[in-house]
This record gives sequence, C-alpha cells and structure tokens, in this order.
Amino acid sequence: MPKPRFKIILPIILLLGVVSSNSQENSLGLFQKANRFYDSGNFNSAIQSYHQLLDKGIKEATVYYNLGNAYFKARQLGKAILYYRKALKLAPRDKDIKTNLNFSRLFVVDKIKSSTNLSSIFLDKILNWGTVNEFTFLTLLFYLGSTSLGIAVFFKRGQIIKRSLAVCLALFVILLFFSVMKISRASKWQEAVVTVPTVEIYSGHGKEFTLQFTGHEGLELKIEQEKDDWYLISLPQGVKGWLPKTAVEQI
Amino acid sequence: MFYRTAFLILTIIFLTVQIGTAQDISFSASVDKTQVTVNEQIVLTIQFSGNVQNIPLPKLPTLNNFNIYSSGRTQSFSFVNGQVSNTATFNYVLVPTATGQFTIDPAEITIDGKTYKTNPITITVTQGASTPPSTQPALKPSTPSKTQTTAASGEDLYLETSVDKKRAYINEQITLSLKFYQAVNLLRSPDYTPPVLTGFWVEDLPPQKQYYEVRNQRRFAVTEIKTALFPTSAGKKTIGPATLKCLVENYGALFNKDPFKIIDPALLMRQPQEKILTSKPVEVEILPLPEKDTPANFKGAVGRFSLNTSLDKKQTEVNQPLTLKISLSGVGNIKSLNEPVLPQLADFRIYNSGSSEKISKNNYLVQGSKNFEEILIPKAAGKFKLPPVEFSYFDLSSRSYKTLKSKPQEIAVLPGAGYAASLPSTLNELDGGVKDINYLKTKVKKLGKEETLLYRKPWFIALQLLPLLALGFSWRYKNHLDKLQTDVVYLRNRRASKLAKKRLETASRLLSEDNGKEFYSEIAKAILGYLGDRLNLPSASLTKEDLNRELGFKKFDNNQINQVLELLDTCDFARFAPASYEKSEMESFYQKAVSTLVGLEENWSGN
Repeated sequence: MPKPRFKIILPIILLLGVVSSNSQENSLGLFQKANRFYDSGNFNSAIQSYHQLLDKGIKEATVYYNLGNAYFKARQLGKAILYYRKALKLAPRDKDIKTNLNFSRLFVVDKIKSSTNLSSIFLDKILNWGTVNEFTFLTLLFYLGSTSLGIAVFFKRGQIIKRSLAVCLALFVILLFFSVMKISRASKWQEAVVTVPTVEIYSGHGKEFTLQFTGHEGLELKIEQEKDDWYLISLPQGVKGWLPKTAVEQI
Repeated sequence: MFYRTAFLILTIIFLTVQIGTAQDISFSASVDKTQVTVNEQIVLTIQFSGNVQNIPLPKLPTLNNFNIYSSGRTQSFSFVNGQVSNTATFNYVLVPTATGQFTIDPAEITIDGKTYKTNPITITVTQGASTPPSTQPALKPSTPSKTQTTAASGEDLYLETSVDKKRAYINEQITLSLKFYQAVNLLRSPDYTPPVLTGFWVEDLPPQKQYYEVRNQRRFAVTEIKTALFPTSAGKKTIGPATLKCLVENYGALFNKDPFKIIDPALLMRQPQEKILTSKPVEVEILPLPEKDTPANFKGAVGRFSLNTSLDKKQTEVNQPLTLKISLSGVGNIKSLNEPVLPQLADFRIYNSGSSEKISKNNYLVQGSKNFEEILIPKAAGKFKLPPVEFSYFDLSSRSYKTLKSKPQEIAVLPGAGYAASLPSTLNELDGGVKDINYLKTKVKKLGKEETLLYRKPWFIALQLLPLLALGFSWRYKNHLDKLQTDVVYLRNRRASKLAKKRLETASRLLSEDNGKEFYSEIAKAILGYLGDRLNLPSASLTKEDLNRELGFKKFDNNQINQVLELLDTCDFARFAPASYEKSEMESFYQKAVSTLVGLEENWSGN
C-alpha cells in the first residue's frame, strides 16, 4: 500500500494597493506643486495644495509630514502638531516626523509631563513601534510559522523542530496580544490636538460649569466622551475636563 | 516702633515742659493742690512759653491770705520743627494763713506791650490735721517714705488710659487714649513703659495732643497719645497697664523739714524723688465676625473700602509684560489688607511686584489706600477678557459682608516677534542645537489612498482558517498512520472492506472463467475474511456458531446474520459436494454475496 504524501500549501499574500495610474500622476504633480510653494515661502498656498491631496482621499505619511511643516512655518502650531501626529500614525518609526514633532512641542505653552509609570511607558513604546497592519502582518507570519512547525512536528522527529515551534508559538501569542491592544487602541483611543490659541476647559459640558484650566494651541489630549458640542478630554496626568468640539481636531 | 516714637515724643514734651503751642505765647498758672490745710504749702507754678528772647518776671497778684516765697525759676529752650520756644517756669510757694476759700488772681506779664494773664485758681484752706506739721518732720527729718506720701502724691501726676468703645469686631479700630496729667515739674524725662497690647495690631495715631485741663480746681498739663488698636482675635481682652517712671522735685522734703530754714542753701538743692505711675488696665470685648454668609474670598478686611483696577496698556505682545494696578482705599486697617483675589489667568504668568500704602489718620481714624501691582506676562496670543478682581470685606455700618468687583477689562495680545522669542533658553541643551524643523520629504514613489486595514479584509480572515484546516487534517492523518502501525484491530478494520472487495473482484473473474469451485471458495474467503477483520478474529477458525454469537453482540439483526450463514452454507455445499455449476445460479449468488457484504459494511460504518 503506497503512502500518500501530504502536501502543505502556504498561501501567498499580496499587499498591493490598487491605485489608478491616471489620478496618481495628477496627485504627484499636485504634491510637487505644493513642495514648490513651500520652497518659495508661500506656506499658505502649500497648505492649500496639500489639503487638496488629502481631499482626494490620499493618505500618506509624507503628505501629512509636509503639511505639518507648512503649518509650522505658517505659525499654526496646533495644526502642525496635528499633522505630524497623523503622519506618525502612518509611519511610526520615521525619524524626521519624530524630530519635527518634538521640536514643535517645545513651543506649546502647556508642558504636560508624560506618565512616569514604567509599564505604561514600555507598552506605549511597543505599541507605537508599528502600524496596525504591521502588527497584523507580523502576527500572521508567526501564526503561519507556528502551524507549519506544528505540522512538521507530526511527521518529523527532532528536538530542533519542537523547540522552534515553542519559540514561534510564544512569539505568536505575544504578538497576538499586542496586536489586539494596538487594534483596540487604534479604534477606541481618539486623540486630538488643540488648534485654537486658547481653550477654556470646564468641569462640565457647558460654560456655566467651573473653569478648570486653560489649554493652549498644540496641547495633545485624549477624547474620552462626547456630549452635544462638547468633548470630555483627559491629559496624561489624569486631569479631565470638557471643552467645545470646535477647539480641537482629531488626530 | 510705636513705643519708641511715643517715648521720643513724650521725652521732647517733658523736656520743653508744658509748652502750650510752640508758635503762640502761652501763659498759665497752676497749683499742685487745691485743698490744703493751714500751714501746708502750695506750689504755684506760673509758666510762660513762647518765641520770646527775654522773659520778664511775671507780676504776681496781691495775695492777702498767703505768705509767698519764690522758689526759683527754670528756663529751657527748645527748637522743634524750626520753631524756637523759650519756656520759663516760675515757682512760688504759698503758705495759707487763714482758712476759707480763696482765689488766686491772675498773674500778669507784659511782653512787647502786650499783657498776658493767667487763669484764676480757687484754693480751699481747711483747719487741717491735728498733728502740728512742725513737730513730725523734726522727728523724722529724712525719711523718704514719709516725704513721698506727703509730697508729690498721686494727685500731682496721673496716667489714664481709656478706649472709645468697649465692644468691637475683630479688626475694627479701637482708639486707645493715653493721658498723662501733670501738675508738677519733672526733673528729667520719664521712663515710659507702654501698655501690654497682645492680641492687637497697633497703629500709632499722631499728632500728640497737649492741652490743659482743670481737675479738682487744679490745672493739669495733659499729654494725650492716641493709638489705634485692631483686635486680631475674638474674646475678652485686657489692655494692660502703662507705667511711667518719673522724677519729681521733692518739695515735701524741702519744706516740711523746716519751714523757717528755707533759705538754707543746702536745702535749695532739690532732692529728686522717684514716682511710678500706673494706669488701670482696660477691658474690651472683641466680637467675632459673623460666620454666616462669609464670602469665599474674604480675608479679614473690616471697615469700608472701595476697589479700583487699572491696566497700563490694553494691547501687548506675547511675553511683553502688562501692569495691573489694584487699588483698595477706605477706612480700616489698611496695612493688614490682603491682596484681592485675582481671577484665574491661565494665559498669563503673574508676578506680584509688591504693594504700597498711603495712610492718613485724620480724626484719629486709620484710613488710606493700598496699591497692589501685578505684572502679567501673556503666554499666548489672542483676545483675553480680564475677569473682575474681587475683594470682600465686613462693612461695619451695615454689619454685613460686602464684595467689591472691578470692571472686567479686555486685553489684546499680539503674537510675539516669532517662535524664537518664546524658545526656551535651554533649547541647545535640549535638542543638540536644533534651531528649525527638518525639511520636507520630496521623494515619493506613489501616493496611497486610505485602505481597509488588513485584519478587516474578508480574504484575510478567511485565510486564517487555512493553516488551521491544514493542521487539523495533518493531525488526523498522523493519527491514522499511528493506528495503522500500532493498532491491529484498526488495521484489520480499515483493510476489511478493501480485501473483501479484492476477493469479490477475483470471484467475478473466476465466474467469467467458469471456475465454479474456486468461485465459491473465493466468495467464502471474502465473507469470512471480511468478518474476521471486522471482528478481529482469525478467519480460518471461524465457525457458524462463533459468527452467530459475535454478530449478535454487534447487534446485527437475525435476518442479516441468517443471510450470511446461508451464503456460507451454500459455499460449503458447493465446495465439498461438487456438482454442476450453473452459470446463472453463480451469477445470482455473486449478486447476493455482494449485496450482503454491502449491507454488512453499511451497518459497520453506521455503528
């Protein structure tokens, strides 16, 4: 009786965005035009052009970064920080974006100390390392690795395979955990930047409540809740308050 | 501070001795006592002061009922506030010669053609003590205690304290008056110990008043010092006694020794005598401020105030300072006023640049204004409304709290000279000398649009099942392989139908070859082999009884078992009693065997 061979088929994943070549050319032209405006010091026109790109549905870290630069030069600190943050979301390990974001933050009036909790710093570092897709992809890789090694363990004897399976499986579990965290953070955490010069933050959703403090342009905060035209926001130190929706823009 | 000033003023006053007013001429007469017995001495003091260079002797009235002795003249010069004051005191000793009420007529003095008169003084002379005055002093000529009581008695010098009100609120002004009554001359400036004023905020109330007051027919020079007291806590308080240590001329010693030896030069040396004056302590009751309706920003101000604020400019740039002046004025304890509550100004750095006071004490009421200066440095550009500055105080006239609010002001803050202006000074350390943002990114391969996240794509989710399925299949296959190797029952079970099928195929071939004997033998092998494998029994030794029993255990119905047994019987019969093999009979038997095996296999798989 002949032994039938079991064949393992690994799926091939293709990650290619589908963009029509025609609009691509227009977009690239607009992008270069915007860059030229920036070079000539016409920051407001540059801002307009970059926004046209965004209106077309383009979502690219480079565009956000350049728009952030244009806003910074046009002395709109809040918007600059907003777009640097948007850029960083798409390209979390980009040095230029990080440098400019940190530089812009020097001009923000409110100096908010970030959390000093070591474990949360550690978690933030890991979660800020990559995008949702990067985390998903890495998890998938280790998932495939684990299953293939698992299959191999059925048919081949040897410590090496078993050990690599253990390592692969552990990494898969860890990555799965971080991916879930990253996904939930990306979908639940709504962050925003103050884009008006000053905003008064109240203890409740209305001006009749006690004025708690005043936030300034460029202040980054987390949106916890919304009611009518107000957001309940929180700052890293646990400070909470309500501010009008018009004062901030979501990242 | 207050004590020292008070002491200094007192010192000056006593040194110049009873000046009426420095500018004007004052001319007065007084006696040390108005009630005397016969042969007791009265000291008449006639005092002249004024900006006069040479003071002539005053002209004494004719005194019929008194013997008059002049006891000398003292003169002093004072130079106060550019005013020269020349004071001369003429002392006379009067010894009444008769009893009754006598009036000492005014003395007169003429300066530059102008005549000045003193006030008349009434003196009552009684019969006096039984003890003749001449004998006792002779016995105890120099007992100081004796002389002290007879001489400058409490009547000559008084120290009195009084307050304008006995009940006051915390921080309400109480005016304390300290009056020093003086009917005799002092040899030198007195040592003054001010009253103990614990529990009060003390505010000096100049000017000092000097005037004459007639008490019990005697003329006293009164020095009055007023002090404003602001109680700091509630409850009963005692304003402690003030003491004054003075040296007075010992007239008693002078005269009582021997009235007839007045001219003795040794006795003309005045023997000083120490006198300690103590005022009575004064009790006051301090009421606490009402607790009801106390404003949140009340900081203890009591009185009547008004609030005013002003900004030095309405428009500025980021980091360019503004000055906010807050002025509080009114009646009350100005010095202790706390700064009014500043509104919340998160957009400004606020520095207190100090306060200044202007205090006037008109009508002995502490009043004035206190100015606070705040430096506001805007942190961000924009239009800001400076909310009102609030100040609360306890109004004494209405006995209620009042809150003052200034007018809100608007400030326009323009953006500064640029980011550089607001750069932290430690930037170089912070960012390794970074002065500007990094340049644009210009290299771009393509501009991607927003895409559905990987984990949300249906094909991605579906893909997750594939490795799991593969894993499941391989697990099952692995199990199968393991059983084949280790489990005979499993192996025989697995191969039963396959072998039966093979044998039936052989039987079918033999049928077509017309080999009847082999055909039946092969069918029997197929059935017995199949059942042996399935039941895991050796097929060679299977008996009908065994089959009947075993198949019964496996819950096959009798019909099926009988069919099997019937088939086996037919085979045995055909094999061991060979006759003619009918082809049609063989074919129908083959069909029957196949259907029986199929039925068995169905039953087995179904189990």
